Amino acid sequence: MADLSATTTLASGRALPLGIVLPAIVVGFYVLAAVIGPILLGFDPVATSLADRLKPPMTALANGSLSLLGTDAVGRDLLAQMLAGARISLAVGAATLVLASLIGVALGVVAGYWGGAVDTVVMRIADIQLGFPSILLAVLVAAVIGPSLTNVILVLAVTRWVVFARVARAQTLTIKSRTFVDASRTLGATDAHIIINCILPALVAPILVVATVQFGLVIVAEASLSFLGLGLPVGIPTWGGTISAGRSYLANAWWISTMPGIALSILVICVGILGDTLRDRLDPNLVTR
Amino acid sequence: MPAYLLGRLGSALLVVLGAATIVFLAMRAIPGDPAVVMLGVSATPEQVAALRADWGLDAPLPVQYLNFLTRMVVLDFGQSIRLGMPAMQAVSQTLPYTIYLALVAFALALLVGFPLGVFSALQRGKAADKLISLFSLAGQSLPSFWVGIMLVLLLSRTLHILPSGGAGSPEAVLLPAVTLALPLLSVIVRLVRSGLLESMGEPYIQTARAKGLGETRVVGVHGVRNMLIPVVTVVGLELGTLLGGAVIVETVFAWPGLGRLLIDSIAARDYAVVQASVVMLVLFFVSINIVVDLLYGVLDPRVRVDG
Amino acid sequence: MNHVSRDIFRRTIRGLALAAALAMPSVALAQSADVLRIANPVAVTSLDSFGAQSADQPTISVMQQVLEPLVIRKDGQLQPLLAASWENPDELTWRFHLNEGITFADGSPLTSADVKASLQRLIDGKGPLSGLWGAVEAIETPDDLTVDIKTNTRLGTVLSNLSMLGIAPAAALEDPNFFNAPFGTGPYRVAEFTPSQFVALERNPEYRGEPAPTARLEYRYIPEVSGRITALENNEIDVTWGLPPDQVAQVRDSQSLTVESFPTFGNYYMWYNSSREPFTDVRVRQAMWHAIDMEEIKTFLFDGTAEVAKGPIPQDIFGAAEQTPYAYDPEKARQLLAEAGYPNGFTTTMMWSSMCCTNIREFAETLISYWAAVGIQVTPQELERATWLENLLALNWDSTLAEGNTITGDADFTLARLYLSTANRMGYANPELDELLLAARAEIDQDKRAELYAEAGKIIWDDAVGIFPLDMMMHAVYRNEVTGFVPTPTGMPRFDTVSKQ
Repeated sequence: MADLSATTTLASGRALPLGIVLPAIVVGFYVLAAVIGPILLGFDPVATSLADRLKPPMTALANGSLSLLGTDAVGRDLLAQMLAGARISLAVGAATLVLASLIGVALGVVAGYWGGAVDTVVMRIADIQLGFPSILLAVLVAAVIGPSLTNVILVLAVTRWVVFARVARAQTLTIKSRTFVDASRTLGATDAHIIINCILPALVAPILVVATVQFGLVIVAEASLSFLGLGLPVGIPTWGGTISAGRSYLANAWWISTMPGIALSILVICVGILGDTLRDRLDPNLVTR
Repeated sequence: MPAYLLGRLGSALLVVLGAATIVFLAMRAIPGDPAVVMLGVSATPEQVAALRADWGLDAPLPVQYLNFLTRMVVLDFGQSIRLGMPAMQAVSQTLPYTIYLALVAFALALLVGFPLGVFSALQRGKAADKLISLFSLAGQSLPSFWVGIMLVLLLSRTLHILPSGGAGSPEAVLLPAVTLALPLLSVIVRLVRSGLLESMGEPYIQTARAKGLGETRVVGVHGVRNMLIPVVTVVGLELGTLLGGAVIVETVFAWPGLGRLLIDSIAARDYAVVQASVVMLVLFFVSINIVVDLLYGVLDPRVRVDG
Repeated sequence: MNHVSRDIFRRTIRGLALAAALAMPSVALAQSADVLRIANPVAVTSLDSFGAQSADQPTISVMQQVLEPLVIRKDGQLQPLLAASWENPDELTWRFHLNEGITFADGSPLTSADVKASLQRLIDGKGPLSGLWGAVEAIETPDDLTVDIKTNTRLGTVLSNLSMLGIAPAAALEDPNFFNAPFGTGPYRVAEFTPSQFVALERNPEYRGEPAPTARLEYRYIPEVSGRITALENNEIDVTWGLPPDQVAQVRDSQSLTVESFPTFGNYYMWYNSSREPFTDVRVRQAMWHAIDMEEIKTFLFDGTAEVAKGPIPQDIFGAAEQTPYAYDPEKARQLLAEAGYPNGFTTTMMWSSMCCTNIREFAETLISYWAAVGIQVTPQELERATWLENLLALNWDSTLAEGNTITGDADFTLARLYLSTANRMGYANPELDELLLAARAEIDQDKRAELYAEAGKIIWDDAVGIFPLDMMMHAVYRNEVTGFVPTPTGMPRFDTVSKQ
């Protein structure tokens, strides 16, 4: 089982260090908040309340409820908006990584396993893309295909697949030359068999680590796109969008930009610690950037 | 070496050509028409058609593309619709601002990041080291647009120490430069720290120690020199990223550089300027990569660049 | 940090940064009573007021102090400026007699050839204002001080159109570099210009009138509202405008700043696509208007600094007439919807341009909430301006929210350009309205023109071609030492009367 082998590698040896446990708890908390938060404190983009607009944190609102983190420019509760935003950000991050890793692994394995012209073409495309500032690519693609949830995931996946492809290719090259692979080939195993049974399982752990490191980057990239007005459409709350909207109100409502930024920062820092620790434990030489 | 350099240049040209093609196609695929943007709500089809003809946008796409490529060779990107000047002039007016910003950020990152990394390595495992590690992780992962907004909120709006944007006064460069420098600074801290720790374990450092050299000399001369290679590589590559990051930072701080020009020109569908700025940015980017590669060979004779 | 140490800190930083900035393009740091430091909210991308930027507010706001028109709109009236008088020898000819002895900043005299060259350049520039002159057949110069504008149909808007045409010297217009530092007959000439960043004007030594009180005007582009307010408070600039209405109150509290709020020619409008269901039914259009509480929006979202609209164009515009506002009446809205066959409301979309104007998103979201309350589900579509325009012109939308500015101050500019069925801007076609608007454009008698526009305005209002929520006010903020600021309803402030004590 692929999943099992990854877990055993991670859990091998001593008890898990603080560098994994602590950030994992925080990330888990975010996931929990994203899943059940919006159920407890629903966000309705249409429920504006002009009398409650731009109220600072800990203000009692017109309907008697307490706004913990304040309200935005049309009187919607910031916390509710951030919880809904957490759901979007995490979902976009996860979906992007699944898509990017699928593309990346497929191309990487093919390039690494068969080499030759396919390898050259794939890696040359990867090089060209790396030679192009990724935010620029995202801006151009996003402007072309327009704002929508799927499009944002597509744009981000397009800017991320290269990292996965490189790791997958490198790993494939290493495994391919191992003796047990030669052995199974001599025994008549097909390419498909070798890839599925020998190569893919060995990819799980490094790809997981890469995904962890990339997760923070993707979430920040999504927020940056929203900030530039190229992210998700209005009406879908995102952290980046809220930060951006609060920019005009820095003078009289600092909390709108500040609060979602803090939430975003804590998350990406924890994911970062997690990614670093995992990488150090698994393979210090893994290139993840 | 010449063969390697040729190959390197060839692939660099390929990147530039690829970028030019992507931007050319992207601009024409984006919904919106420069003539309509210029004429606004009252545009009539006749007015739009007349303008498009004036700008040569009624020609078939392949013709426009070939035209674009042939003129690009001499860095002629045509006339900017929005600014009423050659696109290249618009780029050359803003590029110095971006380079200046990037250089200040670069200098900041080096001047702060390097000592901080060395200090962190020397304090390995202690509280200061952990604090610096956390700081550098944060600097690497926080979204720069938010960091920028927070810096404005704190230093400009609340403390009134620095201007919040524009390039109207000499100190205006500081906030955008700090924001831009932060990710690079963090990378440098981490690289310097790990590089130094690694090389401190090498035999020749032990030898130097055994020869009775002072700790400062051991660290300062032998340790630092040895970890320069990875630092230069990454820093060189990051300089390109710095230029990309400038797009966001310039937007936050209204810095009149190439990044802002690019964003404004995309909004106005000013094809010529978008093409000019992207091609120039990428040209810059690949040039830095080549220089870094060459520098790599100079720093470490073991690396044979033709290998 | 206390004041002294903060000052020392600032100076240290400034010193360090100065050292670092030696290689940078120099931007004047002068800070004296002779320099007025202005922060414009939108970038001045070009000073060529004849081409792409001919209707561009930032460009015009600078250039109106450099190039002067033949006639100028002052206190709602068109008055002679470069022209001494005018007449209509026949219905298709407008004859203008120029004032004698006016010179450009380079000392050359103003002649009819300059007027002709300027108007011709505007028309040939094919920019947004060129359409105003579509009926022009010939521009003739019988003598040095006489200009004839000949049209192929009667054109009643010549005077107000001319108020938007600054006259530049004919010879200089040939020079491709003229617009790097243009000059004309106005109180100022351009001394320095860096596109999108910086414009400096200095007094025109040849100016025939009283010299402007301030020797030098410096425009700097600061896009962020908070950036401009901060810069004002930090004494980095003297004056700015374009403040969002809901941030005015906070600035009013400031000890060192003065806020001036005044009505403009600008308003918000929300158009229905009347060629699409369900907006083909006037009851639906009226119902959505009755669902909105404009007073509440004005009070909370605009902090009271806007006027509930009384017509499709603001009241200070030539040709505007007062209509009765639609009352906030959700019951009536539901009733009208039921009559139209939508007792349970319907689903639709509303698009707007993200770059349109301050508060647009908040405004749109608020409107959508009101409609939700009467059962109409409106999906918001915030688009980039270029995309918004493309959809708008293709009539590829259900409803749209936007801001209009009748910069000529003449109803024709908005009503006859956008509401004619031939323009087909919002899918609304009404032969009666077309007839009124075309008759008004062709009417040379200005009083009669005003009456025709009043009738046209009433049709647009009663038929609810769109919702006309609020007329906008402009908020200019300046430091207390600034005096002599005169509000301009065009939303493009001028500074040739302003001084600093």
